[in-house]
Amino acid sequence: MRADIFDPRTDPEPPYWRELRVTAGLRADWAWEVLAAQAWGARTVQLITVLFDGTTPKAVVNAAWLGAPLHRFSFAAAGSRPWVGAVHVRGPGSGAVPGWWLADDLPITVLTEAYARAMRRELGPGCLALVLRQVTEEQAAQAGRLRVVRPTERIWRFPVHAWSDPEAWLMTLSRSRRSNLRGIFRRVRENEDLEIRIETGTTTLDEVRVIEAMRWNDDKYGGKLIPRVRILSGYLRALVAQPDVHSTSYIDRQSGELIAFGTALDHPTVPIVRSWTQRPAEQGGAKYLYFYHLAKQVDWAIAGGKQWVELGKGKAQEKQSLGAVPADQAAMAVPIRPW
Amino acid sequence: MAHFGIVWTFGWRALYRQVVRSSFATVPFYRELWAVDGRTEPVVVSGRTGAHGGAVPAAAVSGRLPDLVPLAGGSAEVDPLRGLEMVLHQCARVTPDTVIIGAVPPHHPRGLALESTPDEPRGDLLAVGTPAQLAGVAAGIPRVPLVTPGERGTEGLLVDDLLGVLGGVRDCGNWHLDWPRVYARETPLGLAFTLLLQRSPRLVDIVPAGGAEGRVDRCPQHRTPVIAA
Ligand SMILES: [Zn+2]
Repeated sequence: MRADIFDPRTDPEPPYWRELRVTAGLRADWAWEVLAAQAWGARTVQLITVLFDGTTPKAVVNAAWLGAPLHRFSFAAAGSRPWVGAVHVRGPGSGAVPGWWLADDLPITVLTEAYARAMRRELGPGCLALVLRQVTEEQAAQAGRLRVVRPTERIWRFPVHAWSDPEAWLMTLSRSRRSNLRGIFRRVRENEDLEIRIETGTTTLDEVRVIEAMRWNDDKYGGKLIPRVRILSGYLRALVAQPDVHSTSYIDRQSGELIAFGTALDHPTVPIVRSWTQRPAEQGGAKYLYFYHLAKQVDWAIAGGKQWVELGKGKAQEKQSLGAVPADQAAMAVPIRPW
Repeated sequence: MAHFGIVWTFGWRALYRQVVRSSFATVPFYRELWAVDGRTEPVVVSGRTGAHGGAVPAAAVSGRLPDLVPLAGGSAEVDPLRGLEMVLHQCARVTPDTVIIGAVPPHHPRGLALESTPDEPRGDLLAVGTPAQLAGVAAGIPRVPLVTPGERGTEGLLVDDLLGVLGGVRDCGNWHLDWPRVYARETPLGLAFTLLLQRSPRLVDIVPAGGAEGRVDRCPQHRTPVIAA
């Protein structure tokens, strides 16, 4: 298979990219300008690879070239690449979804064979292993004998296809959660100080303010040793400007301040609820807004005839109580043959 | 002394280029700006040269101070009188006995607030402040006005709220930069300043509020960089 390999920071968008995104159902975080902004803000080199059968694209892979030396406190330098390391395949900007698409008739061994070979040719003999995130057990079983598989944190999703309308969804929840949600809806409805602004493909979002809000969460989750790299405002600007991205801002009308913010990336059948950030309780944040936000995403997905809504990792209790179901995930490492 | 000029030019510029590279590699604000738009002297992404050579109007930085902190962490606070001590000593006669009125450098032993200026000046006094602040100071007291680069006249120190004290007029009558701590570069937006030794918040190629005209030259007497008209 022929492989096209791109560094989205400097390589222009390939002419077939838009069509390929539609075919492959790749969400807004795969838009070229979003990939470029994401790659500029990453600590490792990000590579996009397209595999062809003749002239037809059959596979797309997003990966980070993770190697030594790894710089904890700097962005990936343009032009310089580690000489030894592993190719880490994950969704661009989010580890909650797989970082690849394969045409229907292709097995996952395309990644461990044709793709791995292409990476070794591109990155040299120091390219020692391939790591795939968000692999299912079934996929891992196909991948040959030389492999290491480790379970990773489960991801959560709403089985929207099982719910005919929002009321049907509410009826599947526990009584206490149901009445709690009804209380939340009433509270939001009656709260005249709360403005909820939903924008699609916006170019007027004050992304600096949102980035600032995201730091509330970064400070909470970021480790001392490996700091969370702050998201660049250029990345958020490029993402929310995509026509299939919905941004929801929760604003206090009195102070004009942003209380919470979330994005959803649309898809014909499986949209993703992506970032969520809210002001800590001691700064006027309201925990119930998270439940409200997810409930509205359910409404929206049911109305749009979606099958699932991806929610990603974490907040398991909250997600489960809202009717989300877990999916087991694994990371798989495969050595790359040096020949 | 003939080669001295070469040394300051190269050493100073080399340090500046190093600060630009490090800022592009570790500071979110510059990463984003120069990756997408580009910059010049030095170019950091080949083919991308930016709208103003990469210079940043001070207004574009307001509200963005946390993004000027390198990934490894650091302060997001600016000191509007940063560099005052150093520059004041170069530009005025200050001894430990001098009583400074107004903007008193942090380690100076004798200082007075502007409001407590004596009506009958006695001893070694020096008033330092903006022209408006100095208007109320008794006429006999020697003074050093703090002026913005945009309102630069023939005397005083150059200040900017973001960058601090950038330089001042020395005995030669020239506007000396606080060399080698402050770098200045000519850009389409006017002079852009860089604090070469301030790690965080990182201030690189900032055009002060109100703009800064002029070009960077060398003082024939002191042989260090000055801002010429
Ligand atoms: Zn001089």
